[in-house]
Amino acid sequence: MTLVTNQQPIVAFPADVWEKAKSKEELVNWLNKYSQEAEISPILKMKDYLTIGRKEVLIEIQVFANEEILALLPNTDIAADGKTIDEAKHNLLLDISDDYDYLVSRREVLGKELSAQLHLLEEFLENANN
Amino acid sequence: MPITKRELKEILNKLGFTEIRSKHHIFFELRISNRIIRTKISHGSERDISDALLSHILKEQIYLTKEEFESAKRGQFSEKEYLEILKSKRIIENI
Repeated sequence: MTLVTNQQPIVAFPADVWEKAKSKEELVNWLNKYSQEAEISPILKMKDYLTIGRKEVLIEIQVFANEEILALLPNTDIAADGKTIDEAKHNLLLDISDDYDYLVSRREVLGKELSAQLHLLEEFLENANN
Repeated sequence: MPITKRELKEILNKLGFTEIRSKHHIFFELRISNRIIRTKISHGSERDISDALLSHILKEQIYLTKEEFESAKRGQFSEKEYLEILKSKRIIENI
């Protein structure tokens, strides 16, 4: 199930796509759509901890096939990338700090989700100093 | 392919986001009725935004599919159309 174009790499198609396609153009269209819609999924997810003040906060580390690394704070939309796990964790700490300051400054106009996020960050940061 | 910070900044500006500078980041904020859509990019390094982080930003912060984002990147939709997308996904209510 391959399509060879001039001086281009060989591309493998799923059998059903190959069989249904009536022209090369349909295959190219499928390929364009597939490449645009394909989700980027991590090849590895693991738990880790981030030290905030005196507190260890649970975070998630995601490793991707292209060696990109994301550090995420669960139950928030906060994430940071890095070339190494340590760099991603360091960047996540900066993200959390800046996000907290940003959300506090807009407390009165935050929607439901961001208000909940601010509440969670306040818990982390208050507990971190106790 | 990773996107540069400048490219993302230009796209967000076209979609109506305003910039707010903080210590380590530039926040991009869109206030709609009673909620805020926001994302941020760091201004500490010149490094591009990774595919993994961009995917997270699209899904969790600005609510666009990769295809919609590519359209925005090509200048194929405006702030008004972005708001329509947010409404269609029930991220915001009809204003």
